[in-house]
Amino acid sequence: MAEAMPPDATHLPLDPRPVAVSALSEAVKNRAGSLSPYPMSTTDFDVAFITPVHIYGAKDQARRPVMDFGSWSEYFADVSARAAGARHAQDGGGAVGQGGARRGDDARDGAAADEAREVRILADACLLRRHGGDADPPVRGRTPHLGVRRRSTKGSTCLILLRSVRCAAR
Amino acid sequence: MFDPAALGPLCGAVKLTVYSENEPDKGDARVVDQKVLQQITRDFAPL
Repeated sequence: MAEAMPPDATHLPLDPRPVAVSALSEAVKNRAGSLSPYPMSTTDFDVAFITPVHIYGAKDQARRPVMDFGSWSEYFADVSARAAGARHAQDGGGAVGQGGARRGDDARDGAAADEAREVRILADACLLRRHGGDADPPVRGRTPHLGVRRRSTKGSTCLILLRSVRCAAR
Repeated sequence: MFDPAALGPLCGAVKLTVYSENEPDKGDARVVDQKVLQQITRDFAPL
């Protein structure tokens, strides 16, 4: 046995090939749809096909704040759009001349406040989502403005948002 | 672990047979959906 030839150092064909992180990152970015493994069922087994893209995507999602708000995604997309609009107004919003500049100044104060509020909304929603909606005191203390914002824009209550987030996370 | 090349859409029909420890002689065979094969190929294309 001691005189036996050691095996060839060449990896077996099924050893995973090293994959560039940049390629995986690009694949995840360009991907449409969910990053769930591809499911298949037999009579007694649930089978899932997992590719490196799934594994990288799962790790990537764990690194980033949770931004999947389920049925509230449309609302938060709207919030993000308004935040972008506020940034545009802060930059002057294309106003011309002195009057325009003044309007830009006026808009700037409101826009900055708007933007700060939007950022807080997103941050709070992220926290709620991440902690399964069990609002710890700091979050609970910051969330009333969500209700104000929600009522003023959509005619509904933010309490629904908080419950919805909690339900969705459990 | 499978080599992705073993599951390419060029293979035509890919059949997966799963055996359980309780009934090792009884295989549970299913043809893998072409959509799944295409998705797997798409995942590996840039890698």
